[in-house]
Amino acid sequence: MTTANRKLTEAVRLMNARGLAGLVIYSDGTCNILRASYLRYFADVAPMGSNNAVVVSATGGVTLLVQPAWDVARTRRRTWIDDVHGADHFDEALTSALHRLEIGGRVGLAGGREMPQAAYAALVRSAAVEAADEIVETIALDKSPEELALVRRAAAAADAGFEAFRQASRVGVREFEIVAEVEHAMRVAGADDNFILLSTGPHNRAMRAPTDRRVAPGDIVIGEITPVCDGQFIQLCRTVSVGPPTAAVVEKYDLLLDAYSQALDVVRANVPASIIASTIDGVLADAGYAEYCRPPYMRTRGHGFGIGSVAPGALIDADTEQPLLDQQVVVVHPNQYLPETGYLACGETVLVTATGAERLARTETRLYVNSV
Amino acid sequence: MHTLQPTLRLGRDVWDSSAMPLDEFRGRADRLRAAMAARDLDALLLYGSNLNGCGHPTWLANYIVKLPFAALVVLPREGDAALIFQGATRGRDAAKATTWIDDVRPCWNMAGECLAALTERGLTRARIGLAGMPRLVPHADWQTLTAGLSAATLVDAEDLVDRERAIKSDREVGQMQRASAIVTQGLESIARLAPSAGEWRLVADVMREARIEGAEDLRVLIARPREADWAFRPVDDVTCRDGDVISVLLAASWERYWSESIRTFRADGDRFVLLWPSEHEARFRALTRLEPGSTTGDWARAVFAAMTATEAAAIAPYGLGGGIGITPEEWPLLSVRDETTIEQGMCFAVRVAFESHAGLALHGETVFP
Repeated sequence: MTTANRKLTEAVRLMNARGLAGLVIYSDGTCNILRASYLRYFADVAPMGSNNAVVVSATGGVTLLVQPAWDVARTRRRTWIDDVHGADHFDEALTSALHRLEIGGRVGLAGGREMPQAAYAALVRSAAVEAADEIVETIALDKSPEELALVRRAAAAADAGFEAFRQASRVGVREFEIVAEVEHAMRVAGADDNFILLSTGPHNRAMRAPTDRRVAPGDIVIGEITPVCDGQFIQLCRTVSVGPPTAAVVEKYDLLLDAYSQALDVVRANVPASIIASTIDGVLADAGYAEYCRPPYMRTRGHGFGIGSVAPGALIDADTEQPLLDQQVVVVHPNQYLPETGYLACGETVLVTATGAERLARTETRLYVNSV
Repeated sequence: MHTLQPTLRLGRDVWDSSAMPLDEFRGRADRLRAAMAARDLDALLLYGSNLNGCGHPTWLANYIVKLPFAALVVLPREGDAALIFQGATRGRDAAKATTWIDDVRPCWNMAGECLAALTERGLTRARIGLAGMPRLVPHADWQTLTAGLSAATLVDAEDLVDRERAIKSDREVGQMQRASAIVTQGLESIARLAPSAGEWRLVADVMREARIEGAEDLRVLIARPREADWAFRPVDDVTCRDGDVISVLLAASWERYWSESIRTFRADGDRFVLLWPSEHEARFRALTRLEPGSTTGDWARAVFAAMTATEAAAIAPYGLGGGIGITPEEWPLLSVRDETTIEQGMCFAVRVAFESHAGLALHGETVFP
């Protein structure tokens, strides 16, 4: 069975199990690192416009509505769905699609959190609507070979991005110029989108968008290097010392590496995701930094990545109850503000397997040092 | 024009207060309040979401979203405004450093926070103007808001904000001209690139050029107007063969403000050659003269009438353009179905197709009437 057919077959099976007559998978055309892109995952195409939807009937009929209408040709080339319509008048197109597929009664809505009032009002005039995000989330938990291939392509792009990051982190280079070089390297390596945050300075507070600041001798340059390939994210968190690092930076980075290493040792399928946070927090607490294991000194110890599901969640903390699953893509990053050093970035993305964590990128997680 | 939205506004993030001082934004609030008084509005809610659609709150508050999230300004006719945005509390200080609004509220429950701000100001029974609402508001938030404001009178007032945004100040025009310089430089860099590297590399190089010049955000589309069934599309991993004709739409923002242009090139051996003969330049200047006092519809009809049937058919699906400024697309639309009077200070992204004996070329620019 092809991946596309598997998605449709699974969707129909899950709809029938819930007694749903139809399923609407909505997208407002945005791509958010913290959320799954249900439509992009299900249809294999990223929409450009503000209102887009896949409509599935309980008998397996399926149609795709996209904005703008002039993007239909590209959409048809990319998606496995045969029936694609331009939907510049989205509310009418959605109502027509439900009618065409003879969908009435109870309809599941995935991605409804993004759906604006007008589209929702059109939908509820035609059907009894109920939230159905978990249908796509359930299908997406089983990563296909094609998705895993994208993940590995993104990992290669991240390696290229880090090499550019390391090379650009030199005295006199402005922060936004570093980002320009990292983005360029990752695009050349195949990334179609990028999420890059950084900070430079002797004592960083957090990672952020780049400014005009020029790198100075003695700076610590920290970065979140996150290429996207067809919706799949990979992240490397890296620290470069511009000039010899202080003893404190070396010591505290070793502490983060220890936390990272211990966390990787416990990652495997069917353990609670919270074990990542509790392991990292434990190492830091033992070193006397328990009070720093909370915002604003850190954000999260990790998160899931994926197109159709970011399980076990966009934030992994000590309360995250979901288990890690085989073939899940998870970031493990003990990124941390420490009073002696400022914020340090450390971590990367791994593939969860039955026996452990497979590192996806090739670049070593360590403190990098550039000569002045 | 519609493009794929990035997951993050990742370019140079600087607000130069000498180029755009807070007085500029306070002046906008004063003008809005005067317009609110004329319509007997007690408050105005300016809502925006996502990287392309957050113009209303950004224009008034100088707050810019980096991720595809929402922001909202509560502007009472009398009393203090509030800025509410989706995000963690650690974003409060950065937001406060860029806005004139003292009451800054990061949150994850936009509707609830909006109701709280209105309640604190005694405005839950008021006459409230809406901009970007409910057009952009997620239905669950809208239902919460309308339930909480059942005693209020809600009035569509987006036209009021649209018009104020459309008339650019000299400072805004200055920022847009800086964005135009980035776009021009980015497109000119194509002439230095090797076609054999392919489309993917071309776009990567153009984006790098624009970022190095300080672009805050970028959008790129590609078209091959001399191929059958062509359409604008995101870049693809395809080669450029000798003789291929490729049009590149580049939009870039500089410190909030956007500019957009389109250029067409032919792959000629180891370089790209700009396809823009002098007669096209003269024709483009004549066509795209946007005279204050005429209407957008008059202008659009005249442009379509001056184009050949092939030219008109090529550009019609995308439209002739529209307003541009703090977002890549703004009111008004340059369309035969729009009759907005063009005023001094309006800025437009304009696109046309020109036909020659060799075939079609697409061209676009940001113009300042």
